[in-house]
Amino acid sequence: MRDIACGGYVAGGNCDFFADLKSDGADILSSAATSMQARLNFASDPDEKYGSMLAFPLLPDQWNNGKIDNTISITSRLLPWDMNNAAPRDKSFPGGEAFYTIYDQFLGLGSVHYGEDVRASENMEYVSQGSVNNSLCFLGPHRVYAPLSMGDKHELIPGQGHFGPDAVPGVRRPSGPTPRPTSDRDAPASRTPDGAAARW
Amino acid sequence: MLSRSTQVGEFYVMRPPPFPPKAGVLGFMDIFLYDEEGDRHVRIAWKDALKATAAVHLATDNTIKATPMPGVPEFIHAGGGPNKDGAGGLPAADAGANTFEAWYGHAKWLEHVNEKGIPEAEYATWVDSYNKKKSIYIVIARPFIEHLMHSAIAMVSGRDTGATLFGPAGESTFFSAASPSDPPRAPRRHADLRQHPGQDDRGPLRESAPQRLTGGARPALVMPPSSACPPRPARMIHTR
Repeated sequence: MRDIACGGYVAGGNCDFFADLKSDGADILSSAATSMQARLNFASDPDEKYGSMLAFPLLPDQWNNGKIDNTISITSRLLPWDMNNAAPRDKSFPGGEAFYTIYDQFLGLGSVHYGEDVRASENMEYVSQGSVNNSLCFLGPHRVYAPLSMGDKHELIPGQGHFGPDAVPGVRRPSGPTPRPTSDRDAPASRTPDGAAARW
Repeated sequence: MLSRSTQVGEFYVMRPPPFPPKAGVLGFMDIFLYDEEGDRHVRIAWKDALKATAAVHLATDNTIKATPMPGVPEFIHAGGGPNKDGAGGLPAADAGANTFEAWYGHAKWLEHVNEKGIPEAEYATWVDSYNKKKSIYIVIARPFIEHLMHSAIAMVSGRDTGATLFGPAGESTFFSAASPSDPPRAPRRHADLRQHPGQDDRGPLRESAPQRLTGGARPALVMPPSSACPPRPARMIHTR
């Protein structure tokens, strides 16, 4: 058992794109590259808000055939089950190797992660030497439109990583002194503090 | 406890619903994500996600727009939907199948319908066009979710993992008066005077009464089976 507690949120969990959506043309990609590097280097003031998200086109075959049904890599880092393939490069990137090449030249994805420990990858340990920046993304919980739903028009797609199948609002501990809990349900110790919501 | 700053990543898939939405329905391409900073659900619009892919720029590049995308149907300026040449950012001409340019045309068509809805008067025609765009997906990646993570090793207390010689200082141990056989609801009690240091509430190491009264040689300590231990009365061993 490890990582049994999540002590504090640092950054990277909001819903802002790295790209500046008010820009046009090539500025969209350059703004994304700049803000992503600023985030990874914590280049701004401590109270500055960083972006968190990237977007890529996806091949329908990748999703429908389950090739990226639970994990993708946004850099040249390989997934454990791709290590022994003859041409494993970037198969798990959305759009495949062709789109990795395209986005890499604009966003500098290859510099996000380096120092791959091949043996650790083969053993599915997800341990790397060198860069501490993450490049693997697991399917996260999100809600999509449900055309057959009569009431709530969105349904949950359960997550397969991070905190678990779902993340719901309402767990952020209020600032200031911690209020005295009136029951076990109100006890902050039973919740993940500081906005990290987890429903097991 | 070991603490370190650790990143984890998540991704989410935006795609057309398997069945076409009813006439006038908006936002069917949007998804909701959990925002850890705001502690709320946030709607991610298809329009914003499409713009974040920079496809509007990449699809105009003569080299990139021909990038193969197997499974993407041909984009034709015909049928239902916004199909004016170049209107709303659509490709100016028809785009061949399995190309990034065709993907962008379909994605832009979905953006328009997602924002305006399918008109009821032309529903059948538009749905026919919609059904050709079910393979248009966008992946949203959130790769740098960073937390301070703590690691610890937790073990069951008691004899199995080594005796605790000092016990839970400052805590009280008691049984329920209503149901004395229930297990203790507080940390296990440490040894009392003249008890083996490793014993706990599961059974005392008792010496027989006659030997204690005669004051003879110190008897051997014997661990009785747990069933032989009578329930203790409700009592408070230690109070603050």
